Amino acid sequence: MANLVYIDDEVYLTDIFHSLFKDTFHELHTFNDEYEAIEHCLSNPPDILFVDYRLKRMRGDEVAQRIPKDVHIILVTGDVQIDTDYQFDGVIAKPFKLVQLLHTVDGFTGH
Amino acid sequence: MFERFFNYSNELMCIASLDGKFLHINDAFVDLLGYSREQLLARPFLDLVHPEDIEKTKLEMRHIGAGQNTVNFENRYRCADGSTKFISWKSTLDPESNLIFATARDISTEKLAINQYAQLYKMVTENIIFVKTDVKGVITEVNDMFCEISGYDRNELIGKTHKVVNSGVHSHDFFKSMWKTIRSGQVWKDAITNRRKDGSQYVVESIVAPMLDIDGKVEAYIALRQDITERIQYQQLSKKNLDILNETGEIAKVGGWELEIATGQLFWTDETFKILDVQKRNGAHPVLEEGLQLFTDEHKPIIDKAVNDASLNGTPYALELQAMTPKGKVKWVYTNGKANYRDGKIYSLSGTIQDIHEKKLAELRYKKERQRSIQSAKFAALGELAASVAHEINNPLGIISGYAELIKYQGRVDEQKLEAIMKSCDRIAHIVKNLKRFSRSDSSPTKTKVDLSEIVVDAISLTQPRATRHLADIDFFSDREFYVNGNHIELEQVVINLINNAVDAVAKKPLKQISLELIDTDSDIQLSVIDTGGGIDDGLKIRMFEPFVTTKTENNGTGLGLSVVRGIVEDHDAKIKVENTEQGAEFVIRFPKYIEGANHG
Repeated sequence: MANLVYIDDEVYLTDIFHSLFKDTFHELHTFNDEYEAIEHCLSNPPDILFVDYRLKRMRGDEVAQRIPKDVHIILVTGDVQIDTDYQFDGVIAKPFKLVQLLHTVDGFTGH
Repeated sequence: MFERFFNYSNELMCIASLDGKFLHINDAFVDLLGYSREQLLARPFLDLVHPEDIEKTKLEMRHIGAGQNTVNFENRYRCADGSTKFISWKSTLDPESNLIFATARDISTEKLAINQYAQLYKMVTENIIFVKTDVKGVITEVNDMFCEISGYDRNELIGKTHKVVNSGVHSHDFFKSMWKTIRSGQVWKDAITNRRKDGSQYVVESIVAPMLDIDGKVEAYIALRQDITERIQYQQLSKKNLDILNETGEIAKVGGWELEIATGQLFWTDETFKILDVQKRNGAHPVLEEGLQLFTDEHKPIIDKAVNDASLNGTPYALELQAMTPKGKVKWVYTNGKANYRDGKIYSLSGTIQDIHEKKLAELRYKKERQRSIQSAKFAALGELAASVAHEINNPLGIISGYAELIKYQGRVDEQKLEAIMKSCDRIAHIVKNLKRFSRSDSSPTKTKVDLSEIVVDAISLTQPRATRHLADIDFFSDREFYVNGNHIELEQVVINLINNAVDAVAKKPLKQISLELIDTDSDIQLSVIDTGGGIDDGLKIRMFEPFVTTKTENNGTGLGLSVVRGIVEDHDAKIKVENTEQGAEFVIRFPKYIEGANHG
């Protein structure tokens, strides 16, 4: 069981994420607002953080820098090219396959 | 007996009275005049004398009456047949009978010959430079024209030889050969340069003919000459002009040419021969057909048409063409031509030809460079555009495909339709990703062993609805695999784009047929997409694979389809070309065959 967080300003995408994982044993939090998400992650660090690149006010890498170091951070982006120095633990391109999300989680939880 | 002698004689004889009547006239005389003897005896003979000669005849008769003998008195008689005869008389008065005894001779023929000679002589000496010399070459007679051209008076010439006018231009042998010819009784002809009294030179075309005496021996020489100084000067001037023209042409690398319409003869300056690499044949000019052969197969029809238009309608032309020299070298030339009129008709074409090979190559290189830089600028712009819109497209796409997947997992709906939604999402996602090809950095999608036959079937299944909407038939049959090394989705996109273009092309044509073919040749695998859409303009054929080139109206095309196709095709080490068929266009893509175990990179 892992603690998962997904931050995306697209409500439908967080809904898909939610639908996909709601029946698993993972603990699940999705956010459309990055500040709320950061606050949550600081008080309750997840195992894996999925984060969109272009959020309402911040970029995915800026969010990642404020998150505790031991959190695995996966960038989920629709951009074809990302200009950042931040080293994400993984990148998933939008539109993503659900199986990619599942595999990623499995990968970090050792399943 | 005397009577018989009188009549048989060939001489003309008569006896006449001093009052002007024939008393006796012999047969020869009767025959000459053509009247009957009775007629001649009945009337005064003065009636038969030429009116102009009557007065002098009367005078002569008075002299005879006074006892003076007539020797070689000439007058003219008019004969019965209307002709006039010259008669030369010898007559005397017989004192006993007081009658005139006369013998006469018909000298008409001699008279005519002498008269003609005199006319000829007059004509020659008045119009042609004329000199007569004795056998030693001493001048015995000259006419005014000789005096005029040489600048000497008659008395300065007569008694001298032609050394007077010797210009020193000709060799000793030249004159030796002339003398040899005329001494042997032959006529000698040549152009001679002589010198005037004032020292200047003139050129005459000379005919020197020996005059022979009765024994056939040369007794004198006659020289007839014509002044050709101006002609020679003109020729020299023309040659000089031509030399200058050739020299100018050589420096400027511009050749001149003229075509005589009636004969098809071409006149070329030296530089034209040089530019076209044609050996100059002495005296012989090339003809039009030879000239036209000196262009490449591609450009010959262009020059053919231009020359034809210029000859018939006087349309001038200026063209840049590829010439093909006799040695097989292809060379860019600029050539122009215009019609020349005489009496309102085109009698010749003339123009120039210029070697522009280096210039043209540089220009083509520059154009290509420029095109390339424009193209890469377009690609860069496209790359940026792609990057900025990718995010906007990919998010909603993620939503569509995400929900489709979720619905599929819940398993309560038509799975096939969900598959179609998801496949379409894949395609859109892929295209968005593919737009990135145009930007700088891109990791190329993985290639595997794929079956083109399957790809074509997939592509048709996705384009069929649109084709059906436009009433177009898509025709494809295959019962085997055609393996190439490639990316399924990319290649499918190629086929989809080509089919969609074909649908657009046939949409407004009565015959709406699109055929796809796969052929396994020895060397490659060929995919053809053939339509009945009327074909593609030649001008567009070259540019059509560039991005943003479209013939479709604003909302129907982005102008990206074929450039994406080319990008993908080239990325697959394949080649695409387009040809027009009888009814439309045929796109052919040649893929390298998939070779098992080979490193397909």
